Amino acid sequence: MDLLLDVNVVVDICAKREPFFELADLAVSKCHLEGGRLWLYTGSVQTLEYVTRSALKFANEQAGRKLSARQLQWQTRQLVADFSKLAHWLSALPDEGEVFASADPEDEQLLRAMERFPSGEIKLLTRDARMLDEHPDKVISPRAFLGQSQGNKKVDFIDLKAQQDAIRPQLERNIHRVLHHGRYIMGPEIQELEQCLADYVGVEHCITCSSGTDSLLIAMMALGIGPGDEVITTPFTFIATGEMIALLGARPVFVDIDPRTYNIDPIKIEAAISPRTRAIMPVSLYGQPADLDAINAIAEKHGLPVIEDGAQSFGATYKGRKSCGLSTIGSTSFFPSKPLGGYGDGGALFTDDAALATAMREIRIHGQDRRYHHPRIGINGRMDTLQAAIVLAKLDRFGDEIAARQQVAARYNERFAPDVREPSPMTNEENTPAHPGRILATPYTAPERTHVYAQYTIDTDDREALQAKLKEQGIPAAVHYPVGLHRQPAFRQTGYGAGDFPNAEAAAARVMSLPMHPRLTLDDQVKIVQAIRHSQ
Amino acid sequence: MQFEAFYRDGKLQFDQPVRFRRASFRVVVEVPEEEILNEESNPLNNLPTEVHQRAVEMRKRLDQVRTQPPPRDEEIPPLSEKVLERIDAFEQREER
Repeated sequence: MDLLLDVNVVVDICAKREPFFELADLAVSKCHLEGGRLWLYTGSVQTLEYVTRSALKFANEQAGRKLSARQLQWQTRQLVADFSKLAHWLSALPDEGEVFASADPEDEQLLRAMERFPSGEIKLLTRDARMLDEHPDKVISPRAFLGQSQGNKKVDFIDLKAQQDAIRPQLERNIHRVLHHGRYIMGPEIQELEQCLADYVGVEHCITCSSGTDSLLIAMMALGIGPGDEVITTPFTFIATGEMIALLGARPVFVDIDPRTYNIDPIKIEAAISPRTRAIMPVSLYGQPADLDAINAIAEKHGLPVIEDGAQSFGATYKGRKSCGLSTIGSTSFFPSKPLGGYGDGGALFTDDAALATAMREIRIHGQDRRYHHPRIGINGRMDTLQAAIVLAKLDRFGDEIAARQQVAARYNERFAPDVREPSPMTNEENTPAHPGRILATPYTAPERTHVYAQYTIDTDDREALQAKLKEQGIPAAVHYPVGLHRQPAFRQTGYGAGDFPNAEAAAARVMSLPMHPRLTLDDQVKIVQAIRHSQ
Repeated sequence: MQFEAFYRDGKLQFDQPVRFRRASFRVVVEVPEEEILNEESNPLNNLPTEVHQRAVEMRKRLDQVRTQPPPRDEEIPPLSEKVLERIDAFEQREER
C-alpha cells in the first residue's frame, strides 16, 4: 500500500517531534519495505516548510540552541529536502484547487488527490484526529498502519509502476507540454522521438507509427507486397507477424525455428524460397535478435528484402549492432509491456533506404506526400504525440533498464543452474527425461548477441501443472505462445498441419515465461525458483 | 488540578477549553489499565527487524542533518519581508 504523508507526520519526522517521531519513522520504513510508495503532495510544500520551521524553532529553544532566522530557515530546508528524497512528489491538479467550499481546504486537497489512485491502494498517513474520525476508509494513523498486516504479497509479472516512479517528473512534464501545445497529431515530439530512435539504433531513418502491428503492415506495403506473394516467417510468434502478411493477401510461408533461440532457423529458409517469395521476415523473439547475418546472406543471394520484427528485441545487439538496424527494414513495438513501452499502442520502423523511408512515411499518413495529395494507398498509422512524449521520457533511462533486465535474468540463470538441461526436445526414444532431475532449460543467448529479456522464458516438462502450482503461490506465469501460427484456424488456408514444424510445436507445448521486469527483487526471484524446484 | 481529557492518536484533548502559561510542561496522566496494550499485542513488537533497522538508519541520517552546525548568517541568503510575514502567519497555525 502507498502512503500519502500528511504534513503533521513529515514534521514529526523532520523535527524529531516527541513523542510522535518514532511511530512515524517506523511507519514510513514499513511502507518502503513492503514495496509501497511514499507520496508528498506538491501543493503542501509551503505548509511543510513553514510548519517544520516552527517545530524546529520550538525544539531548538527547548534544547537551548540559539539559531538566527536565516539559520533556522536553512536547517528547515536541509531537513525537508533530505526527507523528500525518500518520497515521490504527487502533482497538484486543477480540480484540487477548487476546494474553498470545504471546511478544511488543505485536507480536502489531500483527499481529492488520493482519488486518482485505485481504491484501497493508498491511505493518508496522519495523526489528525478529525481526519481519522471522519475518513476511516481513506486515512490511517502511524500506529494503525504499523499494526496492519500486509497479507500475502503477490509477485508482479511485469511492474510498470516502479519504472514510472523513476521517471514521473519527466513523464508529467512531457504530457503537460503536449496538453499545452495541443498538437496531438504529428506534434513536435514525433520528430524528436524519431531522431532519438534513429540515433539510438544507428540508422538514417526512423518512422514512428501507431503500433508494432501497423509497422509490419506499413513495411510490407512499402515493399509492394500483395496478393499472390509469399513472405517467409516463423510459425512461433505472436499472431501479428503472420496476420499482416495475410491481410495484404499474401501467403505466410513458415520455416521452423532453432530450438535453442526460438528464432527462425536460417538453415531451413532457402528451401522455402519460391518464385513468389517477396520478403523474409524473421522475428527476434523474447528479446534476442535472430541470426540476421545468415538471413541477410540468403536474402541477398535471392534479391529479397529482410524485415526484422524486433517488437521484443529493441535495445538488443547482434555483433555490436542494434536490433532493428540489422536488415532492410527493422520494426518494433512500444506496447506497454515491452522493454521500451508507451502507455498505449505505438511502434516504429527503421531503415537506411531513403526511398523506402519516404514510402513508409507516406503510407503511415493515408499515402499522402503533401496535404490532400495521395500518390499511393496508405493507412491511418500515425503514432499519437502523447505516446511519443511518453516514450521520450523513458528513452533516457532505457540503457539502465536493459542492464537491470539482464541482471535479473543473470540471477535467474544462476539460481536455476542446478536444474538446467538442454532445451526441448528433451526426451529420448523411451520417452523418459534425457536428464533426470534436470527440470528446465533457461534462455539461451547465442554468441555475439545480447538479450533484452522482453520475456524470460523457460522450457519445462509439465507446463500446465507447474503453472497451476505457481498460481497457488501467487506467482504469475504466461505462455508465449501456446499454438504455432500454422495451427491457428485463421491460417487454415495455408495448408499446414500438425508435425510440419516440430521445433515450433515442441516449444509451443513447453515454454513458459516467468515474471520479468527491471525491478524484480532477489527475494521474489528466490521465491519463484524455490516454487518451481519444489513443484517437481 | 485535575481535568478530564480524551486521548486520540497520540494527543490529549480537554473536554473544555483550558489556557496554559507555557507551551510545554510535564503532566502526569492517569490511563485506564484496559486501554494499555500488553507486550504481545503491541504492533511494534511484531514488526520485522528490517523495519526497525531501516527506521534507525533514516533517523541517524536525519539527526545528522538536523544537528550539523548551520552556516553563519552572512553565508545564507537573507529572508525577504514576504517570507518573514509568512513565517509569522504560519506560527499562528493551529498545531494538530
